[in-house]
Amino acid sequence: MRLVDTLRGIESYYLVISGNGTFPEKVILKTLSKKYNGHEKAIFYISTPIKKQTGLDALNAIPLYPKKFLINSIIFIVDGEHIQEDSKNEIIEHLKSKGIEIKEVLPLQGAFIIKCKSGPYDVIVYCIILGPEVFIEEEVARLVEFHLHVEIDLSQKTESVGRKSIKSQIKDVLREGGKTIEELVLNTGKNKLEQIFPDICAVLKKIEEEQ
Amino acid sequence: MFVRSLDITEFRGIKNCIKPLIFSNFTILIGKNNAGKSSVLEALSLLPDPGVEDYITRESKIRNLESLHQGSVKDLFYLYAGSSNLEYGIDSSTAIIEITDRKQHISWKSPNASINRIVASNRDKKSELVLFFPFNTSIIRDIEHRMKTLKELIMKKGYHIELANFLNKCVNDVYSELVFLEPISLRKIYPDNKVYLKLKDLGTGAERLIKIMALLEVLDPRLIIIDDFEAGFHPTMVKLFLKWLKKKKFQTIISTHSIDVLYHLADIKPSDTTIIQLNKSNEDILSYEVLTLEELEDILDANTDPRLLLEALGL
Repeated sequence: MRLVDTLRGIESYYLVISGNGTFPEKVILKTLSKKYNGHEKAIFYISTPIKKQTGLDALNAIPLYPKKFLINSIIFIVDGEHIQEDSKNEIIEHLKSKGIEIKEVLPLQGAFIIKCKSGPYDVIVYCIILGPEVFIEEEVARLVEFHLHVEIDLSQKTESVGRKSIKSQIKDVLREGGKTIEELVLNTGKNKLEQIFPDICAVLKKIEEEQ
Repeated sequence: MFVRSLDITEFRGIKNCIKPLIFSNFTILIGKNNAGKSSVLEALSLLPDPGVEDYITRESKIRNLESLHQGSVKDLFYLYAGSSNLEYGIDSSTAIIEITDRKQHISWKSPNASINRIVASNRDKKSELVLFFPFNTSIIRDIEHRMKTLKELIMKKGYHIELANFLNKCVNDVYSELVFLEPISLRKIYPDNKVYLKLKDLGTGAERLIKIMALLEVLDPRLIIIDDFEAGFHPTMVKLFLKWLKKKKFQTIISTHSIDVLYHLADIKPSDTTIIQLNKSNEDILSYEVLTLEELEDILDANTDPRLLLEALGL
């Protein structure tokens, strides 16, 4: 599997939409997807240069993709902070409010798959709540701790100031260690990655297995 | 709205269109380099008649394009030979501009239709109906000449002060007014002094913006065309200029490569807006995909870049 931003020569792909900007989500998806065998499947991520925290509003584009662009396999990533209590119900209700009919919801570890219908089009949405409590940096912190043996203080993660501090702690530790997130992911075994990024890995694994 | 549609045959880099382009009151053309954006805008710039004098350059509209490409009329033909045919939907009529190396003329499909009938009030102001601002630095010099001829009107209506106030929102300086010196200058207010600064010394973006706005304020055209809209503009300037354009009555057709323009559009929401993604095949056939403002907003909310998405999908 690979992450691409062009579809030349690619037949089977899954479009990523994000409710919270693009970094470090894009680099993590890019390097994690390389860990799953084969090059037949592709994750298609055309991110904007401007980070926009839109949360579940990112789902508003879903009816457009099958109708206008014939895309019906979508990976939706969003930080946990955009979820009030129950991610599954909140996402389902949001999709329903956009006129999408829910057919089936399948659990996939902490992630889940929503099979639905937008007008006449069948759509599959793979939902990944990053963190999963607050944001993806919780998962990145585990990766950094595993490799660089420096503990990241996550105690203030529910506060806006605390989140900024966690991001800068991670940045500092990576700089001091002379490492990048990409390098750390590439140098981590698949089993460990599945512990660190359980839901992203579960979705990638499922996609890789699908015919 | 002045122009509803355009069909192009053998003009500039375009062999033909898969289907005519349909315009809104506010239309943004996007697409890769050499996707046909400038060719479409240049085709529109020939309205209302290729023989009419371009307001800014004082050359005929057709000669204006020849000069822009530093060549002859043949440079306007697809692969530099033959002829070009441009078909416009204007009001409820259809106008056809045929360009050959001997003559260029406009004809109307509907009986009794003509530009004079469609825009009766502008009968004597044909060159002011459609204003074209290509991405070209010499145009800025030409606009300065035209601004000087409009000096009395600009000052009578207070635009020299309004434009300085507008510029103040885009920059960190404080200007009180535009002053018609040689060259056109701005009066800058310091805490204990007032100095005249040449407009051309404020940078290409500010100079271009103020000069375009001055013409648009006074002339009140029916259609304005701006190629590479954001050229030289800071995102703040892009946003304020789009907001300003939103309030105007004229039809606006622009091209852009800038994601800032798209973000600000989604935010500002001019009424009746569409985004047209142009795509030209290797055989030079022009195709396109249209996004509404709502669709643009949804794509941006999903943190997806619409310019690259449409391109990657080959649309």
